[in-house]
Amino acid sequence: MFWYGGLTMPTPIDPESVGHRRLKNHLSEVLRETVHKGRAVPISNHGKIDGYLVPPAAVEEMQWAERMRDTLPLLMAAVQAGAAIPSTTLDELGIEIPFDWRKLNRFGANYPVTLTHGEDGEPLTWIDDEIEIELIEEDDTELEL
Amino acid sequence: MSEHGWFLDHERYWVATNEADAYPLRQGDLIRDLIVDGERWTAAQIVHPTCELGKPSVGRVQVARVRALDDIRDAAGRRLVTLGYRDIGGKHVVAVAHTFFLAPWPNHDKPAFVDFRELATVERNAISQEARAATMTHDCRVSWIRRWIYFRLRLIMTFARVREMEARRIANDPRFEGPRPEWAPLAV
Repeated sequence: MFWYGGLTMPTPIDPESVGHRRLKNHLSEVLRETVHKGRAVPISNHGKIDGYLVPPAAVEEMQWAERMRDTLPLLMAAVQAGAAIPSTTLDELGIEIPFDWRKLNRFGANYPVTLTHGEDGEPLTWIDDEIEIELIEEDDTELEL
Repeated sequence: MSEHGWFLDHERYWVATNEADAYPLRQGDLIRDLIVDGERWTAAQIVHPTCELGKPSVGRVQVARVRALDDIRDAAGRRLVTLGYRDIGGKHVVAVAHTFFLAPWPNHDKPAFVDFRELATVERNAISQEARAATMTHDCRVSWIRRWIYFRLRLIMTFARVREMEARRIANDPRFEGPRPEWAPLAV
């Protein structure tokens, strides 16, 4: 079974491996019999497993677990501080923290966080290293309108 | 890139009342009681560039509306404004970028926020040190500029980088008025 950080449901693994030749010649059939049913399949070459074919959901869960590894310390610290951080993860866990603006403000000001996405869901690109700091001489010429 | 959140601790927002007179009006300061298009705003924030404020040719000044945090009906919205980001399934997502959380200021004990979508221009003489409700600290202005840049341009930098840019600018400005931030001594 695949376990992702011990946080999500495991993906069962087929006991039978699929050889390279069968995978190449019968890919659709292999997918239909295994991956489409939510199971991972060992891929073997000359009897030795050299990879796994896994359902898309398993990859998504793996990515989720990866994100959780970074997020859980943040959320646990928020719970401990009584800071009502807006969080779908806490909502799903049924954890409710009463809103106290002082506690939330202080937590936000002091707990390090890596913002990953912009307001519209786009991945954030930090531009600290992209911008040269240079002094610009300003011209105070006014327009006459 | 790991970074503390968007906003400073509420105790680092405003210059103490007994020190504020030494500071000229700047971007980020709050003005009380403005009439905008016939409507009374209990407070507004100067968003006009600081270096423009003293120019005689500037007849009107850009401000943004300040609203009480309690004006937001649901607690979820108040949480988003107070933190400025949210966790969505392990993604740390910028939230309500058009807002900037405002800690209570002297003689005003309720938290608030400025709404960058509610902009207006007001007569230059409507803003003054006498009408100023709160004087933003240099550090808080850095966090404000950082948020403003993200809202206007969708560009994100660390607090440290924005402060570095401000420090370079201020250190090389011999006409800088009022107390200098300790991180921007006058360049020699």
